[in-house]
Amino acid sequence: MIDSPLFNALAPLVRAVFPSYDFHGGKYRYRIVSMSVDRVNLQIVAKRRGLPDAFPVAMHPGLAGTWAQLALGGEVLLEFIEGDPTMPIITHFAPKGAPGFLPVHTTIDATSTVRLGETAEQVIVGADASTPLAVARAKGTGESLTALSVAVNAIIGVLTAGTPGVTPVLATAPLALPLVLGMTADPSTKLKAV
Amino acid sequence: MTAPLLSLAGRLATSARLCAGYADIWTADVTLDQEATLSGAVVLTIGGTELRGTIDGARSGTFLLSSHFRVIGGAAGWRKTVKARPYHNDATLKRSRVLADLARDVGETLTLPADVDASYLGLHFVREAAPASRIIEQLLPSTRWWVGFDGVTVAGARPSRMAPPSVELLDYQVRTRSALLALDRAESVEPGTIIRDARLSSPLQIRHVEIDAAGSGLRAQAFVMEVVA
Repeated sequence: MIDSPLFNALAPLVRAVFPSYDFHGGKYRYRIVSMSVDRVNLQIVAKRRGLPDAFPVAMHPGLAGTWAQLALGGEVLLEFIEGDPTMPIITHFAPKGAPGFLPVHTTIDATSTVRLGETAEQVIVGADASTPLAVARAKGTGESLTALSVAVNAIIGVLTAGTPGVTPVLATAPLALPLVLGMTADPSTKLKAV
Repeated sequence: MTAPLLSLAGRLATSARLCAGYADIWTADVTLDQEATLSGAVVLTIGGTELRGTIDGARSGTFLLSSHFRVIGGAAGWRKTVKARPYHNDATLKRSRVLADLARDVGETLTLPADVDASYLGLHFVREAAPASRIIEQLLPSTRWWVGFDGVTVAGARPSRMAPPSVELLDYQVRTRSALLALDRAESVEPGTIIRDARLSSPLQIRHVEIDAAGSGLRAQAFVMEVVA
């Protein structure tokens, strides 16, 4: 650490040239205190950073159409758009294994189509590969789509399940647009149920 | 020209050097030929002008029966570090409210332009723990602010007054844009003042001034900008 009269005199001057320096590019750790409708009330983790505690901040998760009711106590990262102290946003969430990694609720939505696993060999819903709630595989892989359809129905409530042993019909009423799992958006493409 | 009355907190001073910028906080270095202990808010008198400021204890003291004081314009509050504080208002946060809180927190009196809330601030303002001067720069990034001789902080342009006839242009260095002036009152050459003189090709506006006050009178070194006649 430099400690000289000249340095001590110049440092505040240099710092004064960039009054919003602290808000440019920095990511600050905040703890989730509560949810305020769609926004999050936060408490700073490291007070020495000089930023204040809770204020309702919007989430900008980087993926359009997503929102989550976050688990209280978890940590998020706060940034400032354009380095402006009037525009704080939450950009990052707890990593896997950290407290608050799993939100209470998650919403993934779109106005037209929500497509999952377009090129994936299989889409697993629930638990893990050894004890799945449902597994869907692309045509010819011989896996059941029925359980997946039921699971998706339970989660989203918009997909009509097929009947075991028959090719399921995707996106009949009440959903006007298809939710396509593990396949292309072409409605003529079939998944085989066993 | 009469000798200026020079005093600090009612005590006669032997000399003073006053520095004031166009968008700045004025400071003055004052010498008393006596041992004195001063602190807090004081009134510095130079000529007939009263300047309201605050003693900077870190740059003041006594040596060999003389006392030396640094006086900072206003309450010397803009250098103070304020506590972090979040602001939020879904109906649009007012810049004037945040600034008023800031000034109050550091003991300063702040005058804002009438249209301070005309531009959109946003829903949030994250006030970090930092010198108050930094916060005001964040809130008013394109507005000049300054502390007047009366100790009041003003956000906005300084008034462009004409220098009174008592201000005499002694010399003008064209290369460095600096003028040497004789005057009888400090307020006559506040930054923003316009100097007209038949010897000048165009009027000069004072941007920064350093006034030396001693027993013989007042002299000012002014750094100027040429303005349209």
